[in-house]
Amino acid sequence: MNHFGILVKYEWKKLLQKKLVRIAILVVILLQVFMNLSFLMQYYTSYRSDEDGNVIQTGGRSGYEKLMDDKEDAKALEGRKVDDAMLEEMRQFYAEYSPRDKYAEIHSMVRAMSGEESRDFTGEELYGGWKDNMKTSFKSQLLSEGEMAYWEKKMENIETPFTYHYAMAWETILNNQCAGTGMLLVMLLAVCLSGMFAEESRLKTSNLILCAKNGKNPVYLAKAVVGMLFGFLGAFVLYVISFAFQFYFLGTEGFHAILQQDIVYSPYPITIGEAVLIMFGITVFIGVLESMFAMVLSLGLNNNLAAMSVVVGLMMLTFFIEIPKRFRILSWLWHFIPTGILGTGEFYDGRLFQFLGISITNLGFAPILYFVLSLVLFWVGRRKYGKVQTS
Amino acid sequence: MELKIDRVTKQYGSKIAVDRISLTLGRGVHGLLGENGAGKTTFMRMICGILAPTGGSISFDGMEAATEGYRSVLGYLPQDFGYYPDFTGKDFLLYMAALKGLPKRRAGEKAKELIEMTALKEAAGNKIKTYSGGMRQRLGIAQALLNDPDILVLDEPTAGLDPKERVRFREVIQEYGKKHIVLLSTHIVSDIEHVAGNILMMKRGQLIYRGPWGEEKGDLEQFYLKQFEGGEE
Repeated sequence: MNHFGILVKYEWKKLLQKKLVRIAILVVILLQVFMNLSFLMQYYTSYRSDEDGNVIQTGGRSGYEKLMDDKEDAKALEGRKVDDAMLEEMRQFYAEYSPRDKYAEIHSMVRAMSGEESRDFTGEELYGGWKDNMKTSFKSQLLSEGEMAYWEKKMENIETPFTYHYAMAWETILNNQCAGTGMLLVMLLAVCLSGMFAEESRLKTSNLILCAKNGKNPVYLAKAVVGMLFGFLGAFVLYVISFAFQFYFLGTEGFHAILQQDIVYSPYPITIGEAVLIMFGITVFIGVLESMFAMVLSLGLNNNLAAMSVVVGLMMLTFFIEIPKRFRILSWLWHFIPTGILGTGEFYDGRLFQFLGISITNLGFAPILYFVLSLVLFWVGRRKYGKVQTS
Repeated sequence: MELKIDRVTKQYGSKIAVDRISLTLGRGVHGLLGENGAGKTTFMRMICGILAPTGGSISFDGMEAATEGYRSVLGYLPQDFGYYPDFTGKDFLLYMAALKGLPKRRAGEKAKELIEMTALKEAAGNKIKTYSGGMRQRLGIAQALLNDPDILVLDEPTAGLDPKERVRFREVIQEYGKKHIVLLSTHIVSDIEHVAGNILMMKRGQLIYRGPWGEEKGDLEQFYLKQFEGGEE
C-alpha cells in the first residue's frame, strides 16, 4: 500500500472511531428500517353505512394483513389495460360495498387522472381529460412554448390506454422512501463529516499534520476521498435497506411499469423502475456533494457544530421556503438545493435547462450540477487547506 | 547543514510576538529559553512552517520553510502534543510515518525501534487515551524522530516526564544533536544547561542572548532569572 492508501485507511479509522459517528450511523440505519416497516404498526378498520345511515364497523386488519391483501388485489390486475372494459368493471365493483378495495391501484390512478371522484366516464374521456390536465399543469408551471412542445413530443411515447403492471415495491420506494432517504443522508453527513477538518484543530493534531511531508495535498485528498466515499456508501446502504425490505414484502416485479401509473401528471416517458434508479443516482450525487460541502465548511469554519448547523439548516430552509415559479431562475435554482429535488413532484416539473441548443430536464441537469459543484467545493477546500496555519 | 533564519517577525495586530530574529543554526543542540509569552512557541511554529512569518525568511540548505522538501527533513514535537485518543500507540506512529513519507517497511522498523527506545513496548498496542501524561510525551518524542529529521524542533519536551525519563531523554537528544540540528525550547534551565551547546534566550519576542554557555560565565539559571526579574508580562 502506498502512502496515499495508508492515509486513506487511517482517515477511515479516525472517522469510524468517533462515538458520535457510530451513533449517527446506527440511528440513521434504524430510522431507515423504521420508515420501511412503519406499516406494521398501523391498524385498519373498515366501516359502512346501513340503510338507516348508521355507521357500522365491518372488520379490522393489521397493517401487514392489509398490505398483503392489497398486494394480492394489485397482482390480480397485472397486465390489464385501463380502458372502457376496465372502467366498467370497476364501476360495477364499487356499486356495492366490499370490505376489500380490489381496484384500489386503478381507482387511485383514474381519480388522479380525472381529478374527480366520479367513475362515470369513458376511456376516451379519461385520457382526453388527462392530456388537457397535463397542458394546464404546464401552463401553471409557466413553461415556455418551447418547453411545452418538448414535453408534448415526449408524451407521444406514452402509450394509451395505460397497461397496469403490478409494481408496489417500486411505487412505495418512489413515493415514500426517496425524499426521506435523502434527508436522512444529509443529516448523517452533516453529523459525521462536519468534524473532518475541525477535529484536527480541536485535537491539536493539525500541528503534526501540517509540518509533515505528506501533510498538505495528500492529507487533503485522503480526507476528501474518504468523505465522498462515505457520502456515496451512505446513499448506497440506505437504498439497499429500502430495496431489501420493499422487495421482501412486495416482490421485485414492476420495474417496467409506466411512471404515469404512479405519478399520473408526469410527462416523463420512463418506467417506475427507471424513476427509482434516477432518484437513487441523484441521491448518490447529493451524497458526494453534501460530503464536500460539510467538509469545506468544517475547514472554513473550523468548528464542527457550526458546519453541521449550516448543512442541516440549509436543508430545513428548503422545507419551509418555496420560491414562486414566477421568479423563474431563482425558483429553479432554489429547487436544486438538496434534498428538495428528491420529492415525487420533481417528475411533474417541466422546466428545462438550455445548453448549446440542447434541452436538459431537471433530473438530467441535477447530477451534472451536483458533480460540478462537488468539483468546485473540492477545489475551494484544497486552496483553503493549502493556506491553513495553526493558531 | 544550516538552518538560516533571517529577520523573522510575527505580528498580531499591534502586538509583535517575534521581532526580527536572525540567526543561523548548525549541527548541535540549541536550547531556547524564555518565560511564558516570550514568543518561543510562535518562533518554533514559524520554523516548522505551520505559521507564516509576517516578515523575514527561514530556509534549510536552500529550501524555504513549509515547502515539501523542507517538511521532509523536519521533526516536531509541539508544546500541546495532539493525538488521536482511539489510536493505539503503534497505529499512531505508523500513521505519522505515512504522513512523513516513510516507505512501509521502513516505517514498521522505525516504529518498532522508537517504541523500544521510548520504553512503550508494553503499551504499544493500547489506545493512547489509556496512556499516562509521560507515556504520551514519550510517544510525541518518538513521532518526532520517525523520519530521522535533520531539523528536530522540540517545544517543552520534558513536560510530564519523570526524573528518570528526563535523564534518558537528555541522553537521546545529546546523541541526536551530534549529527543533526536540534532546537529545544523550555523555561526550565536545568533541562538544557547540560545538553545544549548553544543557548538562545528570548524576551518579548526578541533574542536577548545567543551563544555557548561555559562555566566561566557563571550560573545559567541565575543569569536567566536576572533577565526576567519583575515576573511575567
